Amino acid sequence: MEDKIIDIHHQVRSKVLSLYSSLSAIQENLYNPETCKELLELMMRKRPEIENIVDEILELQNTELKQ
Amino acid sequence: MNEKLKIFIVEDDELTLKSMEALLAPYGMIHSVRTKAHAKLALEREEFDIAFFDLDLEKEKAGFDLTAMAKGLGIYTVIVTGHKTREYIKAGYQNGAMDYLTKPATAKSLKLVLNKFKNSTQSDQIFTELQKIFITRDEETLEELELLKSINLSHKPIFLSGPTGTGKTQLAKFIHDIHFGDSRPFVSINCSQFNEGTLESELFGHVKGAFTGAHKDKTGVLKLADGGTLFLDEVHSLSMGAQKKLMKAIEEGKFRPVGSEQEISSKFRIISATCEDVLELIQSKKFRNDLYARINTFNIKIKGLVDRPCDIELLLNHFLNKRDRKIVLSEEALEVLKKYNWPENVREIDALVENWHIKGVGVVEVDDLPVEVFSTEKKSSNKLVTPTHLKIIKEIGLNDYIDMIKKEAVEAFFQKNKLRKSKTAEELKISPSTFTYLQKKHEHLDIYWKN
Repeated sequence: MEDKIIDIHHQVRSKVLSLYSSLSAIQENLYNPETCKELLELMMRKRPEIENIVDEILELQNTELKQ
Repeated sequence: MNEKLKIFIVEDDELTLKSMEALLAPYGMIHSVRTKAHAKLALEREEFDIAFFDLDLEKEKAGFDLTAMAKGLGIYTVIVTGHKTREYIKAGYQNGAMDYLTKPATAKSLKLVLNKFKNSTQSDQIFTELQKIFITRDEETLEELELLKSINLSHKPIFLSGPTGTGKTQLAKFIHDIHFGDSRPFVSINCSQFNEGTLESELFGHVKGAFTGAHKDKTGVLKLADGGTLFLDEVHSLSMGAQKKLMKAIEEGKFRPVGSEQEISSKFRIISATCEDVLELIQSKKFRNDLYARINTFNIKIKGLVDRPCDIELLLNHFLNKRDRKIVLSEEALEVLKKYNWPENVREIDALVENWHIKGVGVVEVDDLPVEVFSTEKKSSNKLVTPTHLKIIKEIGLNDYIDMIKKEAVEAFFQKNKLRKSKTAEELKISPSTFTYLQKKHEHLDIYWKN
């Protein structure tokens, strides 16, 4: 259980850091629509990965409740 | 920032990679990969100025290996990672990283690193230039000179200490040039060349009628150096009065010329130099402690050639090759010169080579060497009798000591003249019989001389 929590924490942190970098890059490239578009698309592609993490968290909560 | 900078990024997360590319694009050409294998291949095939490595690649800490590899190739390496524990940071630097950034990589953090990279490149260039004018292989001296990398970025005072003729003035001019170039004045004064009254006038200037002979106003070096560098050579020669006035001028940027009621202002960077032990002068109340603290922010110690014999041949070759007309040293002459103590240091080597040029020498033989280079006794002061000699006199008496001096002079000239007795006697202005007498006398006391 503890390993699972650590793994989820790591995944969340990784996603947040990645998104934070992309926000900084978008901020610096506001007048460069091509780059902004590309970065935003890549951000959107993170969505399924984030949804997976949310599922994992929910599953973990359920397990905890059952116990 | 250099537009042609070659930047390498290794990052397995596509979004982070794209973000870093977008953030670093204004600074140069970017090459990026997402795996360790591709990174290794790129490092082998391409040339980069700066590399950014993620630590976690394909579930392993591949960033450490890549850092070590890039370091070996002379690339400025930066780790960009989510790990921020002490162990990871330590391992990052131990593997050769110049900077360790924690994610997220932002415009601010990357700019900070790129500025640091730019400064370090400039510092390296400065050090390379310095090594062209200050010739040394001595490790301790090189370490001292490394200080100049940080000095470049500040206006702080610099204190150069070391024996005469070691190139302190040259070094001061170099420091000025890297900082100001030709745009600002570099004003140099040797404080030991003037008596107390004249020195104050030279430093601070004077007004007409300030003293007998002051027929017109004179601008002092402190004012002439306004906006640039003031180099005070042999600073220990300053009188206590001049030291007090100089202290005020440095602290307030204002001083009063001799005989003037009005203060004038001047701001300059001060570089001081001495061949004396200033701490000893402070103890004997001949130098102000507060002034020393003020001018001694950066202290660079230059050793004499007697303490860095590895530089003798290097410097001889440097001066021999400096001019268009080339001169070479015979093996025998070089051996004699390597054993000599060079009390006047680099200046003495330069003067000696100049002398050979004037004389038109092509191959320098032992015969062409001046007599003093055959002496191996260390010169500690301008006095003829050194403390070592006084000890010998005490032990063997003055008469024997004088005879031994004669004997040593005979031997030095004898070697120089390739063991030709008559020529040696002629040069020494003694008879051949006196020559033989002196050569053989007191052989039993040779041990003192050799020790």
